[in-house]
Amino acid sequence: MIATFTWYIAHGFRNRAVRRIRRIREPRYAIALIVGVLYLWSIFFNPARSHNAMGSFALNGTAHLFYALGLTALAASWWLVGFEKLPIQYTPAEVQLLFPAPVLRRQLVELKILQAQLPVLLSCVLWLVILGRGSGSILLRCIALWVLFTALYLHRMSAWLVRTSLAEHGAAGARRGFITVLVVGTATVAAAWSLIHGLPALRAAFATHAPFRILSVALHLPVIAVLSYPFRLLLAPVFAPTTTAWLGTIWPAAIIMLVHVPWVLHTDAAFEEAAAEASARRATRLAMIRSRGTVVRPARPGRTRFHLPLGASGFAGVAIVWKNALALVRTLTVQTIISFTIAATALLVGVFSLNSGHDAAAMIATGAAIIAGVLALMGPLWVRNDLRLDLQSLEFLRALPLGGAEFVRAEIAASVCVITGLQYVLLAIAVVAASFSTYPWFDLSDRAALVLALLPALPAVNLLSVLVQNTLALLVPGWVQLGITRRGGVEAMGQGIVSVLGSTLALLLLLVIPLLAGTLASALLRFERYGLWALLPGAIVVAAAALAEAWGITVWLGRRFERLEPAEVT
Amino acid sequence: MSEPSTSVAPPPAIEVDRLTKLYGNLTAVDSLSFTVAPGEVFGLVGPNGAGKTTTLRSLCGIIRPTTGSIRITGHDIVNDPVAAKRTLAFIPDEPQLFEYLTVSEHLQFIARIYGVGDAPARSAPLLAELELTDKRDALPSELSRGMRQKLAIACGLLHRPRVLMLDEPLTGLDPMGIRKMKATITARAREGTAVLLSSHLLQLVEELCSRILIIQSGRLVAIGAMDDIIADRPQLAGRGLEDVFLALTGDGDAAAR
Repeated sequence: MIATFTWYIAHGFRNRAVRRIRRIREPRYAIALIVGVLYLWSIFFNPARSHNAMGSFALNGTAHLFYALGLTALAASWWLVGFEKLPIQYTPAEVQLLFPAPVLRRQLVELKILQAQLPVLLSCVLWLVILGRGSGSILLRCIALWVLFTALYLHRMSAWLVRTSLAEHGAAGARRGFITVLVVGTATVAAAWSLIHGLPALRAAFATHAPFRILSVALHLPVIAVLSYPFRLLLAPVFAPTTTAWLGTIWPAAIIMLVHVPWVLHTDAAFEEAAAEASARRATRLAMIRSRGTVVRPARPGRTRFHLPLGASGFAGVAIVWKNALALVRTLTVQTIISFTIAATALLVGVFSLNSGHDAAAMIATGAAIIAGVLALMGPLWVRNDLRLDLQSLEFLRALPLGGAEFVRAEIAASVCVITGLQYVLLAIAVVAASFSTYPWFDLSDRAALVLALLPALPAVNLLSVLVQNTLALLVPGWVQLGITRRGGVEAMGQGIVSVLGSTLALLLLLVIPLLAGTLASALLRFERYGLWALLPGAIVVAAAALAEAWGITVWLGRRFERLEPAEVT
Repeated sequence: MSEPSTSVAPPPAIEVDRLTKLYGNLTAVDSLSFTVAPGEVFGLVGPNGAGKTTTLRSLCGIIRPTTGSIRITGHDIVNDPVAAKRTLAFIPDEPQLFEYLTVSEHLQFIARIYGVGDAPARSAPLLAELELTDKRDALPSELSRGMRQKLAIACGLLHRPRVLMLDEPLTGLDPMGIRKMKATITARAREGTAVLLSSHLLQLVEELCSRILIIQSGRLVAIGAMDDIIADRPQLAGRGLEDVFLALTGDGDAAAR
């Protein structure tokens, strides 16, 4: 059976590789591949960059401690927290064809172990590049990395299978997996006890302000030292400086890896049901992404969904804005909110640490203003509830009775409204916070002038920026990420770099006329006479010029939309 | 001797004149011409890859014909697409729904797009007719395949289109849903809606359609009422649509069986 599985994996790999190579014949993929390769070269191999510093850090003893503690924490999370994504993922075709076939459960596991070898080998290559050659042999380090990653993969699979068996058999399962449950339970209690008793030592290390000293103390706490020992054994050959040291450390690592094989293969966990369910969920998710370019989780029972009212009559384009606003809210994940909150908090902490002399209100005002500014730059890349989300639904949208230009404007307006709304909220926070601050801000009149000037200026910049992103999506849909499916590979990375460069250049070009016109309008009013109030007419002119530009471009984009073939965006 | 009729035939709801669609060197549809009258149920059949879906997509403005013209209720779909699309509905075989809008929000969205002022009054009976009332707050991902198809149908019918184009409309429906769908099509046709129905279910086409268009490799093979098609081909006398279809699309042996 292993020969059959090897054939299946090898042919699948070959067919995917052939398809990618064929794709490179198209100029857009060839150019993107070149850009991607150049980028990777500049990151990893460019002699002008001091990648040796990265390699030497990655290989030093402190890094060894860091990796060991990290792997221990990772393994603990597998046992204690569980898995969001199953370690054993079967494709729908595998579920349909192999699960009912006369194939043993052990053989299904073998298939996954074999399939894991390709990502394991890719990880080895990546880490070889990150670690650099060091003083040892590349081949020996590659073998050490392979042993490490394979052991980790098998351990992850073991943890999942044991958890599945427990869930499946309840108390009976706990009795059968008594030794594992006992070991994990004891280890958890002992680790908690060790951490509690080690708190004084950790506090003392913390007082030294040396992060790696804290890591070292944590790793040398008695129980943590024992728990992390297998991971340190696995890491030892990776960090071995000589062939002799490697030979002395590889065999314990290899034994750890090999011990996992019978553990995994002789599991009695009936994982097929969970794997089949996961496969079905994956297929549904993929179908959702392919059909609508997004994924929405069903509401929990008893919880009502966020709603927005929409009148049955009026300007039809409003329905597109309404739809996209709902899409944004309903696809917003907790992870996104947490990430944004962490980033905003980090920014505020940074502002505080740089300006420790200022009061909290001043810091909040500054932070809010900075985030509003960051949104003007990055918002159009983050908020994508426009053509970048909807083009995958082109067939449905094209059947609607909306003119091309009208449709494009509505799509662009959806993102602009969201970004501008967030900026206005931040601006309000900044204004309110500034009024409580003792910092000598501009006087009230100047503050009012600045805020009033920003009110038309911010949406104008957002409009042009979102317009550029949507223009790219319509003109070169193959270069833009449509929906939420991220494409992999070096050429996808190259496409991303080229499109970011192109969109930045286009935005700068589009801003030239509005900024010139706005500057002229402000200059005519003379700063020396009206002060910051002279910015207001300038900002209004900027907004009017941006609107005029966007109007003209959307007429052209509307025609492009009406001619766009569905095959171009799939 | 009968008196000449003074009544004037209504203009066709769908007029297709020499429609051709090329994809590079591939001719998906080749100089296809036909008309569908208001109130008529017109069947479009052909083997896989014959160009049925391409024809339907061209007719509802999703793709642009390479040459030829298409008029929907008198409006050219290329030159006056908004007016043409206002009067038609296209229900594809694979329901095209927004995963982040609930059932009732889909209808709200469609109502605003098509300017259906009395949407609330129309939505309730439509949801009841399609057995979606209990699912009005559900997302498409919480619906079965058949329910999703029913929602797509509800979206298509909300604005009371004068032209209804259906691509495999019974896919995923249960027996009761199939019966109701047939009744819906017949009822809409009786109200004056021109229905263009594409399906591989030849019994359905034979049952519902007054005229049939058979295409193969993008070309017209036969058009007309079943009796007319058979009258032109005496060797097919007494055969059903399945045999006629197989004979005309080249699988004569199968037809003979």
